[in-house]
Amino acid sequence: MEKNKSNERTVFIVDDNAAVRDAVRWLVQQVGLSAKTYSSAQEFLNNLNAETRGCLVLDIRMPGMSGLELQEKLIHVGTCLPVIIVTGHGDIPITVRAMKAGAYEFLQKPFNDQVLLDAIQGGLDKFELIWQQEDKRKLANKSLASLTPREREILELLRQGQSNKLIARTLSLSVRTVEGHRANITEKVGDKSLGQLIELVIKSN
Amino acid sequence: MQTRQQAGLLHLVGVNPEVQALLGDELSNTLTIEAFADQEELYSRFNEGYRPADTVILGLSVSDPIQISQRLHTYDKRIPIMILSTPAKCERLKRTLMFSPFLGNEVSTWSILEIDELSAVIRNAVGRRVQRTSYINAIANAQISLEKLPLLQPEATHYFDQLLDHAPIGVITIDLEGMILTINPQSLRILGVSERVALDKPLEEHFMDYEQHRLKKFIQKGQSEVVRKGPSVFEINVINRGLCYVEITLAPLAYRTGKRGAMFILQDVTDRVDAERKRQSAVDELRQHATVLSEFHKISTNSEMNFNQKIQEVLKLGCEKFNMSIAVLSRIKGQTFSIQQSISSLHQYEVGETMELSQTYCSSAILSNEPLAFEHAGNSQWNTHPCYQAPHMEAYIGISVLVDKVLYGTLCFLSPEPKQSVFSDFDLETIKLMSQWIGSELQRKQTESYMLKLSGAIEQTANAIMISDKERIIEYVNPAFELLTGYSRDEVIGNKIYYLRSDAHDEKFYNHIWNLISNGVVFRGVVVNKRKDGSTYHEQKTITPLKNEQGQITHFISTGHDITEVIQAQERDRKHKAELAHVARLSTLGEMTSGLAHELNQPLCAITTYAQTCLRIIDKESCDTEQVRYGLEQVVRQAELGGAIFRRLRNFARKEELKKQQINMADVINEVIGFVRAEALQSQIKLSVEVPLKLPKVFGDPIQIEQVLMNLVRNSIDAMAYIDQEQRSIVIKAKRYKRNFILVSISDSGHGCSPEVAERLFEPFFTTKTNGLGIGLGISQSIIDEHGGRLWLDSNSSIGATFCFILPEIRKDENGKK
Repeated sequence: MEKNKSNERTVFIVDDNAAVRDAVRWLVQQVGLSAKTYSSAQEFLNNLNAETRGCLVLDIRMPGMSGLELQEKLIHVGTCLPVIIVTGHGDIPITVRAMKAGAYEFLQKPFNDQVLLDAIQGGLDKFELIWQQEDKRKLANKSLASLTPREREILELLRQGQSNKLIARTLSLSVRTVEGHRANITEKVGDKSLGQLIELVIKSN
Repeated sequence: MQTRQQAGLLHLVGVNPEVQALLGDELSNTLTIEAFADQEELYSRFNEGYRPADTVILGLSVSDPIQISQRLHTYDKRIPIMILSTPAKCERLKRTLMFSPFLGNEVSTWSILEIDELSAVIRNAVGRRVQRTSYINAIANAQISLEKLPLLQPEATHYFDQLLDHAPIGVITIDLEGMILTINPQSLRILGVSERVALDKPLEEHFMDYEQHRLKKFIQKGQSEVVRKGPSVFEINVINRGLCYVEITLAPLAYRTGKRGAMFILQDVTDRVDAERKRQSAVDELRQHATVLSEFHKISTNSEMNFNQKIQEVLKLGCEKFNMSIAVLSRIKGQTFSIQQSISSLHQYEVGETMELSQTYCSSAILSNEPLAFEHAGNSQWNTHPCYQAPHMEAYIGISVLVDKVLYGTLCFLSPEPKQSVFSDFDLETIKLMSQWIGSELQRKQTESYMLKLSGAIEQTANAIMISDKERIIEYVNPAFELLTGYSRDEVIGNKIYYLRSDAHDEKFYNHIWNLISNGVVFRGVVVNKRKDGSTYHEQKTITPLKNEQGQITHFISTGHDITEVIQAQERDRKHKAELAHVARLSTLGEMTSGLAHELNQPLCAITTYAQTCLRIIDKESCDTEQVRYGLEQVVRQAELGGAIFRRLRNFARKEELKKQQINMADVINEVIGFVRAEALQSQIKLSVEVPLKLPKVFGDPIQIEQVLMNLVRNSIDAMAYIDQEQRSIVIKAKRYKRNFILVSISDSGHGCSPEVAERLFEPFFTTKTNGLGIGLGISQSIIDEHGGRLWLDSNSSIGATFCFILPEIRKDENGKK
């Protein structure tokens, strides 16, 4: 999934109006995107996981959880998706709230198909980079997670720019032992230079 | 003399010598024969006192044998007589004899041709005669010897005396001077005297002075006349028994001594006389009662007297009958006793006077429906009564007068003197009868005056009244009817009621009314009728069937009044209301613009998107027409959806009234949901509907009902503006209510409204909303009212409020009609 091209991403359509839902799905599929439709925010949330990638076309006014609430929930759970808000009746307070919550685009129903498609494409493109970084960070995290406490300690001291000798003194270890730990660290997180290692640690934070 | 009798005597009168000789030869040895030349000789012999012959033969020379026979039979009608005659005459004579009066079988005729047998016949006749004579003599002798018998048999007399001693009847014999000769024990008992005292004294001495003369005459008469006399009754004063009655039967008799005396048979008939007296007095009393009753009847039926005069006469009659001096008809109201009518010389009993009820004997009389009577208050417990103290009334008879079973007053008679005779049962019955009559008369008068008032009211009332018989022939109409219809009384009475009919109703309508009233049900309703001049009017009509005691309908009473103006006013009012409702609907639509726009925007958005996508497909090189078809189909569907919303809007906003129709409540609810869905969504309100599948329909204007429901739902939406979104919900329910209503309830989960607000909810122009008109609920209520239903706030608390309205169901049998 992490290597997917943007045009293979899924468009998630959340709207309580079946006709609008179906129309958007049909439009999106015509341009080669895959689409999934949900009749409520809750239904979408239920099918959401951290790996979900795609563009969310979200109706603001829905029974139960509203679009804005869903948007806030997504931030809360740490899901990072481009959100295109569509509404039949966009008043300023709602617009402001949506934009503040990080909406990518705000469209008023009925919308122009091209505008919608552009917004979707734009959102996907923009978030492609984010998702890639995200993937890297996740990978780094995964690598760092395999380190022993002592190795983490050493890595932290390395990040602070201390030399092996200094580290050995700080930790009351022999320099040889520290060198051994460093070799292990390098082996666990992959063949990385010290600079790369440090970048990894920063990312994971 | 005896021998001659035995020999028998034959007289021959006018018999010729040859026959004489013949008879003499044959009979002279057994009979003495005497011959006479003619009848005169024979008569002279009888006159001289000789005894009649045993047989008489009348010869041919006798000129009128029949007459002679009759003459002879005046001496002794048992003498056989034979008339000799020629054969020719013989038959004629026989016939004459047959028809002759005073001649029995002893007279016969004999033809001279059969003269040879004559002597034998004569002998036979004489024998018979002799025999009979001796028989009569024997009886006479026996009677003589019987008369001598008592003298010869003294034992029998003794026995007879013994018998009298023990006889249960009194037997007394007296001598010519009237002195008692013998008296038997029963007589002594009856008279109450001893034998020693009674003997040799006149019988009459024992009787009452005033009876003695009569008894003496009775005895004298009995002694002097041979004829037996019937018994007679005399009064006697018997010691220890008082006045008794003795019936005496007198039998005259002659004694051996030659004295003529009399024998009495005595019987004590006291009991019988008493019974007779009682019967007589009862008869007298009855006669007296009959007199009273007939007088009473005369008074009560006298058509020339008015009621008060009749009462006065009855009081007078009572005074006479009960022998009282005062008569009062009183009226009792509470504790006040007032004199209505009276006969009295006393001031306190004058008409119009009043007294305390407790001061009258009547206060006791009214305690029961039976009469109260006493003759002498001074000698009874009544002597402590106030009425005895003050007006000092000794005798009283009184009874309550009831009018329609309610106490009216009393009828009483009083006397300051004690009454000598006791009040009889009949007196009590009489006064009872009088009071009942007065009571019923008073009731009749009351009824009459009531009827008079009633008929006056009917004549005067502004309501048109028509009375028809069970065949619907008009018997009566009042002036208001004439005024209303333009028909005069004379024009309608006797006619059928049909001609008031207008074209406004069909035959079914009239049949329906007829079915109702002919089954004894009262009809109430509005009927459009036609006046004489052809104009129509609305009549609020009530037709009441009138039943007799058997429960059969005899008449119909129709009352009604012209409500044309009311109807017109109602129509105007209804129009105003409809206009107001329309305004309110427009206002509602105005308030709902935002929600409606959203609602409409959805299909519009879908249409746009589908259409654009179609264009996109067409622009492609490989145009998939199937895809385009799909898109266009969706476009059509969504456009239809949008059209439905527009139609709904247009309906709701329309001004003209819809014809009332059958409404399915589920449809109305769906329609309203369609309207408010967007608004509810906007406010995050959960809308739910609970309507059973099969619900009877109601009758009315669907848009107006929709308006009511919408108003209530929108109120509920507004009511939840200040509660948590999660808790916002509206439940719309419809169900059957009671027997024939549909109930629709709208419950919200808002905070309800304060009691002050709840109180003023239905007031016009009362509103809690900043931009509300305050007419919604008022209009809703008047719409529901007009549909024959009711709208109310069913429950109201901090956790929500429920409004309900009910509408009458259309009954199955009404479906066809409406």
